[in-house]
Order: sequence, then structure tokens, then C-alpha cells
Amino acid sequence: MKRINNFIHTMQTQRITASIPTTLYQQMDELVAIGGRSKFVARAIKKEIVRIQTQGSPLDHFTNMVNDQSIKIPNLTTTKIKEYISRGRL
Amino acid sequence: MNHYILDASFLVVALLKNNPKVTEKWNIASNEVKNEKAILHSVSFFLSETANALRYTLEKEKAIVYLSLITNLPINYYNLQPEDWTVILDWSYTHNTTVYDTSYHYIASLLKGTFLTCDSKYYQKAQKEGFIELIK
Repeated sequence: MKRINNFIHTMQTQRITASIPTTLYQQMDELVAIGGRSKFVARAIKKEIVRIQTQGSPLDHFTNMVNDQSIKIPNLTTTKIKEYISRGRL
Repeated sequence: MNHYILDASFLVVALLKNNPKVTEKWNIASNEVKNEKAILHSVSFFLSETANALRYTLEKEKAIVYLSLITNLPINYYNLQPEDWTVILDWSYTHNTTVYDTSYHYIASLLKGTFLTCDSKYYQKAQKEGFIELIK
């Protein structure tokens, strides 16, 4: 529990069982004290989640752009867009 | 496996969010591609048409970013052969359409796919060939 501005803040946690390669465990064992392992693993997972969310496929990037209504774009008719597609064409 | 043939009007309208039905269609098609149930196709001059539309629609920095989003999409660019152009030219006379617009439609017929377009004028002229869906 952590006290912030007179409010009691309790972080919800979930206990998990996971298997990792022995060498990876040994590396963590050398670097992280026993009491800090949950925090270490949580930070590593969070970092990977952010990496996956921000490095999606080109298909995802385009789809995100198409669906993001917060991005302001000129409001053009389809006829106008069609005109711009072929403008200057010989 | 579904084959979607995209023209510049469909992709630019989707990107500029001008039509919720186009957004919806894009979401369906892209989801099918992610699940390996569909393949996206277009023609080699699709990028020049798209870049031209962005050129006259957006400021430079935004247009460059948006074009890079499109160039990175998993689209198969069909390489039209000399014999293809003969058929395309024939179709364009038959339907009174441009060879540019007809090229997309011709590829859709070859692949037995669906030509996705927002061009209602082209659709009205050539819809009887089949293999085309107007999103409006």
C-alpha cells in the first residue's frame, strides 16, 4: 500500500507462474534482489507491451490512422478527390 | 481466399476519413488480410495516383507521412503485360472509361476478385462486367 495525498493507493496484482530459460533466470538472479523481482518482471512485461503496441504492422498503422477521428483532415468530396488523383495527367 | 483490388479513390477516401462506409470496408478487408483470408492488389501506377491526390490535399509534411503509410501496406502490384493492355483498351472503349480506371477493374476480373472503388461514375459505366463494389 502506498499513501498519496492522504488517500490509500492499493495496486491490484495478479500472481502468475511462468517458465523462463535457466540462463535468463541466472542473469536476473545476479542483477535483481529477491524482493525486487516482481517489480523487475512487471517492468519488463510493460516494456514489451508498449513495444508491441507501437511497432504494429504497416497494416495496423494504416488502420489506426483511418480510424483515428482525432486527426483533422480536409473534408473533400469524392469527386474532388477523384479530380486530384488525375490532375495534371497527360 | 478473397482478392481485393484497391484504387486510389478508395485508399485516399479511407485515409481522409470522408466516408464511414469506406472506413468500415477497409476494417473488414484489413482484418481478412491479417487473418490470411484476403490479399490486397493494385496496379503499378496506383502510387502515382495516390501521391498526386495527397499532393493537392495536404501540406507537404503530412502528405509524405501519409504516403509512407500507404507504400508500406502489403499490396501486390500487378505487372500489366502488353496483351493485358489490349483488353483494357477494348473495355475502355466499350464502357467509355479511362484506361487508368479500367486497369483496376480488369485485374479484378483476372483474379476473380472485387474491385473496391468510390468512383460512382466509373461504376455506373462498367458495373455490368461484375467483380466491382462501389463504396458510397
